[in-house]
Amino acid sequence: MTINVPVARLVGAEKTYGSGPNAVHALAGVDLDVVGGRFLAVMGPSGSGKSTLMHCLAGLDTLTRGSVIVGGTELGSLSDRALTRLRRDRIGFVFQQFNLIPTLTCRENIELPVRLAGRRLDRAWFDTIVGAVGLGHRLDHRPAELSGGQQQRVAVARALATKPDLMFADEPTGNLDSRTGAEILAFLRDAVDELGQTVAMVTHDPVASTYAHGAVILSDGRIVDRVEEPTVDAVLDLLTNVGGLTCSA
Amino acid sequence: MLRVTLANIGAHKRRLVSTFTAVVLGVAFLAGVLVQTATLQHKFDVMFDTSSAEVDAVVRSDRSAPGYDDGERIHAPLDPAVLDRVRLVPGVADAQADWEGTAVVIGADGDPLGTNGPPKLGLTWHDDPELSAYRIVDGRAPVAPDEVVLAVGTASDGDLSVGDRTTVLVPDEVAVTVVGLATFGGRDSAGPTTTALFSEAGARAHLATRSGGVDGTVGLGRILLTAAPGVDDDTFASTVRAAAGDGTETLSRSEFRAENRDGIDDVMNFLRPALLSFALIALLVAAFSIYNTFAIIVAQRTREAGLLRAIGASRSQTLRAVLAESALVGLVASIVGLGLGLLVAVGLGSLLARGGLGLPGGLLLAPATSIGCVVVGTVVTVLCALGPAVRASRVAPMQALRAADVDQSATSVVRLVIGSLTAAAAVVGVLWATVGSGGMAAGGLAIALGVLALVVLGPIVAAPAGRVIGLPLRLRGVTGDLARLNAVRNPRRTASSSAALMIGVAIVALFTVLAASITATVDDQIRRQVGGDLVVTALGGTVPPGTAAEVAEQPEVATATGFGPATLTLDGQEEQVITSDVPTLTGLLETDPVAGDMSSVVGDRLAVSQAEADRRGWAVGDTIDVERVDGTRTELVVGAVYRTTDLLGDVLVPRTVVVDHGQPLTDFAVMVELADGVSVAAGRAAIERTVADLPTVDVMDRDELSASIAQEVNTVLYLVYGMLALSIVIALMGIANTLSLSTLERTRELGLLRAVGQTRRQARAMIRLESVVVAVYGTALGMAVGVLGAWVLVASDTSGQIGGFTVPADQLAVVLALGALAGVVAAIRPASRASRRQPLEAIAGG
Ligand SMILES: Nc1ncnc2c1ncn2[C@@H]1O[C@H](COP(=O)(O)OP(=O)(O)O)[C@@H](O)[C@H]1O
Ligand SMILES: [Mg+2]
Repeated sequence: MTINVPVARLVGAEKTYGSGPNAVHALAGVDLDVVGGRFLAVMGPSGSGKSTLMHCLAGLDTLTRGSVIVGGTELGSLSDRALTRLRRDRIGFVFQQFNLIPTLTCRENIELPVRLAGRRLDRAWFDTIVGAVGLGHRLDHRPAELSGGQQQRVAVARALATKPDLMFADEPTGNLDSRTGAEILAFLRDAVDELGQTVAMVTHDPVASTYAHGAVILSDGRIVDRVEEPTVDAVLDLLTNVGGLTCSA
Repeated sequence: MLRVTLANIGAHKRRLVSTFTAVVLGVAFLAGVLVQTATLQHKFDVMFDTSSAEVDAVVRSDRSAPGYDDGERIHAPLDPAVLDRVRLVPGVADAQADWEGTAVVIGADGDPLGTNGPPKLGLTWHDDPELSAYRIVDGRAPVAPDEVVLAVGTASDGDLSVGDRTTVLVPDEVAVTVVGLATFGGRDSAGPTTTALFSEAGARAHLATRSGGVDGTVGLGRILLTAAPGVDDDTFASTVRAAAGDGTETLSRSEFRAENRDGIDDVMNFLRPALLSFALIALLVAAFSIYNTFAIIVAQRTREAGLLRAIGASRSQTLRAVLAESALVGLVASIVGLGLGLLVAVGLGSLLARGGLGLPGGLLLAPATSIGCVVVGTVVTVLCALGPAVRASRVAPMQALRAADVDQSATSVVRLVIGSLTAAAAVVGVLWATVGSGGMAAGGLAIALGVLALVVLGPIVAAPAGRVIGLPLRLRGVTGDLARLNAVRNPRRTASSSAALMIGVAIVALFTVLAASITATVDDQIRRQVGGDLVVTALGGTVPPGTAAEVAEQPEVATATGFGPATLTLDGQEEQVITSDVPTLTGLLETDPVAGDMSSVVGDRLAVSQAEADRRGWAVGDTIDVERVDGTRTELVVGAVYRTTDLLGDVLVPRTVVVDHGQPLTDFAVMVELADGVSVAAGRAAIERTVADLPTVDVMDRDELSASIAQEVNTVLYLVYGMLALSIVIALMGIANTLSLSTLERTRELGLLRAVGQTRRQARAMIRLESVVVAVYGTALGMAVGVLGAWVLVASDTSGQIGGFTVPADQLAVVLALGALAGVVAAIRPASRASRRQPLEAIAGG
């Protein structure tokens, strides 16, 4: 993996909902490089634009102004079909909840993006990621039979299955107790350090941010701060500055 | 309460569209059938009341003449002396001889008028307006025997006007002049009939041939009488009856009217339940659709309801909310359906008119029909909503708050037990019908039980069956897998949305197989039993007398033998027999003799069927006392016993026994064997030349004969298809709607799939394939039920009408393919709607 080269960038990104006096500027001019082989945390108070930023970076949403480039491709010019392919082949997702298809087994859920592409999942890679998230014995169960933490592990494995350029996680531990949450965060960090993946994670939890290599702080749709090797105290300080410690995502 | 209900309906507008449509269509069909049958009944009543004019009594012979006229007994001729007697009865205002018969009018273009079905009437003109509903509007009354007055409608159909010369077949050809045109009760014609009115002399000469002449003297058809003013109807009838004397029967005014109506009552008594059952099928299919919609709406609202309950809303409140909603939807939809029903009635009317049951005039909408339809529609809707509503009200608040993604509730023990018991009862019914003596009625019951068992067991069977049907989808990769799993993830829903289709398809398959079996049986009978080269038949089943002889004279023809009806009293019991040149006929028709010798049946011998011999205790060599319609007697000896009765009936008598004894001999058909070396084409050309002047006569080879019968069977089959089309449409709308609602429920999941890389095309394919699995499941189940049902009916048929069970594999394959295609069509809208949704909307929706 190329280190220190941005796998994704936002340039002058603006996203406005509505118009006129009611307009909400979810993103009000954001420049951001997501550097390969690193774990980035996106933080900020509720409503600061974290999810919007993530969705635009991931090709799930379009910008009002500015551009998104993923792996050298400008997303604004892509058709729905090309965007779908890009998400399928080059981006992995872990959402806060409802990550899995209830009718499919864990194995099938993990294989889903690869099979949607009409390919077969490389056996060795499958074993690697399944081993990494520690799910071996539950692979043939359906999501409903798993705990929340186990479901998120399957989601992480699914996101890793295509060896994506970039993996997004939006509050992946938001619905988990702290111990299970810590496990998931450790997996994400391992994916970066040991499997050479790139991860961008939205969180409002200062503890979660300590698993990242770096963090950016959003407020009112702008990046107001950046921290390298964030610590709980440092992040807490920054968040207190922008006045957003009270709510969840 | 009402405000909450209305608000709910508003919120679920789109979901309720299909419930609404299902109720509307079901009720529309029901209303259409009820309105049309009531209208038809009313019009026929009016028509027959009109045709009865002011006749106060009718006198006719109490004996039968040979043959049946449209299934009605024909009466022997009446002694003219009776007329002289009844004219002297005090209180008689008028008494006139009257003849009725069949008269096919040939139009200006040389073709016979009227369709095969409605009567082509030849009537007697009466100057006394009390005796007839016909009134001359152009020209004058007929006087000479070769003058006729035509109904205005008949004349315009045939492009004939006053002064034109044409031909009337009675069934002999009669050259006539049209001297006048008449209306019937103010209308152009009596319904779909054609009418030619003869003078008394003309009727005596031409119509009386049917009712016969005794020893050359022509009898009267019947006597129509009117009473002087103030005479009581019943008193009048009994005085006339007393005066008419032996050998006659007298009908009072009301008896005459009742009898006139009888024939049409038979038609209506067949037509009404037949049409009604198709309407009920549509309603039943609609019920499944309604049930499903409410089940889904309720499921979607379960969380909401759970919340309400968690904050203290009572169970009965939840229940009442759903019921009020369904009642309102049912009521409004039923009213709309009633309106649409009038259109359906018009459509049915034109369909019936094509079948010869058309009568002019508007529709009759009785208040009871309107109220009945609206009540039925509303009640069905409420009942269908009741189950889901009760279930929703039982939901524990906490359970409701949990998302039920995959339904596991379907496999209940009670369901399994009830379903298995019903299935066992169906099997017993099948055995009773086929092996036992239950007959077709038991067979029908067994089929109904079987369908019921399938409906009950549906949710249990649906999942494994759907998985098997979906197996080929594995080839479509993960899209196919997802479709297959989605199709069975909620077995209860799959079962009820496919059940509607199952019922429709089952009936389609049942009739398709029955029709094929009947056609094959007839074809086989014709091939086995008809030995000649060609058959001469005629419109209405009456080949004119003398045709057989004319055909036989042709050099290309070896033998030509007709066979036709006659009436004889055998050992004191009046019977319809068939007369023919038996030895020759036996050479051309398979009789399968079991005793005696068919070639010996000449002179004073007759042949009887095995069934008749068993019934009457006759055997070869027995002597039978025979009385002819003219009262003369003779004795005949049983010369042979045969088994095949399909074409020959139960008693075969030589022509010589009845000829010149008061019965004109017409033929059902003339069997022709060609001379050696004459090709069928050449022989046919020769015979066609011979009968060229008989427009009603047709020459057919054996293939055409079976094709013509197959065509009649198929006409009925297509009618059944037409009647079922609406039910199938409702079933498909149900599938489409269930699919729509299911995709709506799965919004988040669909969004997730799109987010992780499912293309729109894949999303559409996934939903389409799911729909195909459900549709093929319903179709296959329906086909299995239909084919099995047809087999049960064939096996339990004791009448011998359907000898063999034939499965038309090609036709059924088409049905199955159409079922799959229907699944694709049903998925078009839900699939495109679901695939157009942005993945983010779905994810954010959580
Ligand atoms: N679909 C939308 N329509 C209108 N406003 C939206 C929409 N999505 C997000 N917003 C607004 O944009 C802002 C940023 O939202 P979001 O990115 O979800 O914030 P976060 O994830 O940081 O809580 C918020 O003010 C939110 O209300
Ligand atoms: Mg958010």
